[in-house]
Amino acid sequence: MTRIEAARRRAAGAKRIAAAAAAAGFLATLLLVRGTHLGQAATTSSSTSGSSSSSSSSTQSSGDSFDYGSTSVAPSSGSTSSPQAQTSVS
Amino acid sequence: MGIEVAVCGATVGELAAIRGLFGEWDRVFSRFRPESELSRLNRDASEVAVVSRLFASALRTALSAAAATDGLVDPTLGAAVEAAGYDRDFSLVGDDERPPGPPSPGKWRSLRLSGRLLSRPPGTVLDLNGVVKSLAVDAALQLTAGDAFVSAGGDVAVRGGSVVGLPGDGTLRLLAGGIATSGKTKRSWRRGGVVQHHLIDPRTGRPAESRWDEVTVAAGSCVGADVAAKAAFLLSDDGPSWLDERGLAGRFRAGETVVANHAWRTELSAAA
Repeated sequence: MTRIEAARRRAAGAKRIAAAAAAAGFLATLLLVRGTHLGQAATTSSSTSGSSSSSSSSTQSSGDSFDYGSTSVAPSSGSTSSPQAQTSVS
Repeated sequence: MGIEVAVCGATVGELAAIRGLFGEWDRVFSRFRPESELSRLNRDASEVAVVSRLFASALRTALSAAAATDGLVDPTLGAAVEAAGYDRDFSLVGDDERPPGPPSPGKWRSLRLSGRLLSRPPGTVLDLNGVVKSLAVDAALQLTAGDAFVSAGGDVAVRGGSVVGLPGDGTLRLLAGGIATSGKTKRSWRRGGVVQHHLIDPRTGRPAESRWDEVTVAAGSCVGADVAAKAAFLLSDDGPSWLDERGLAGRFRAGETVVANHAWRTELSAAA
């Protein structure tokens, strides 16, 4: 075998390895996307940047269930009955 | 976000952080800022996109809400609300003789989010306003250390108890969590002579035909209240029982008629 033929064989082998790695990477990406439930999110960490951290423990960040939390209200009465906040349609 | 934000109980530093939070979230989620992440994503024709951590987190919540409400609260209704005529800041929306555009039912199940990788069918127009404002309110409250409340556009989150005014009349004391109101009384306009509003029924792709004008729900978080209020509004007559099945207190208004579901009546009478 000449030196050129040997070099061509090494190059061909390297190309096959590179192609296989690319295919594996694409397959991994494809599985990562398809591995989620339809219309839902994979359960991963959901940290948000800066001040916009995830809200109270009642807020669900996984795709499995949404937690409304528990209602905690009472009649307003006495001298503190003037509203401090207002809920309305926005 | 084009809304009024009220904060009580925050320090000067906390207030600055809250102001920054709302500014940041508006830059990410605004439908009307061409440079927002949402707008850029909606213009992006590629099927797969990498989104920011904040966007992914909010979308994850939106998808959870969609699953929990069987699709009633759906983050894929951007095209539908634009077809109805709400395609610009609401202050610029007016009556128009042209009929609304074609309906665009929700398709939240077509979205796939893994980490920050989002896959969606071509032409999907996302709109996360079903959860973003209330999520921002919850997040803003987390920036305060003591007893406080944050109110934005009628969505309220409380720590330590606050008296909250209700639509129409009346007040209650929200001990903790959130309260939100959904309805068609404020953001409505006419297209082709037909009244339109911003609460799209994902089942039809058109503004919802609900017997209610407004639905108010109290829950463990502002986003929980907001999602439940929207779902209950869309469910019309079935709204009160739907909330009761989930132990959520709801108040329904139709004209001068006010109806409180069993959980609302129970909560307020038990605490009296």
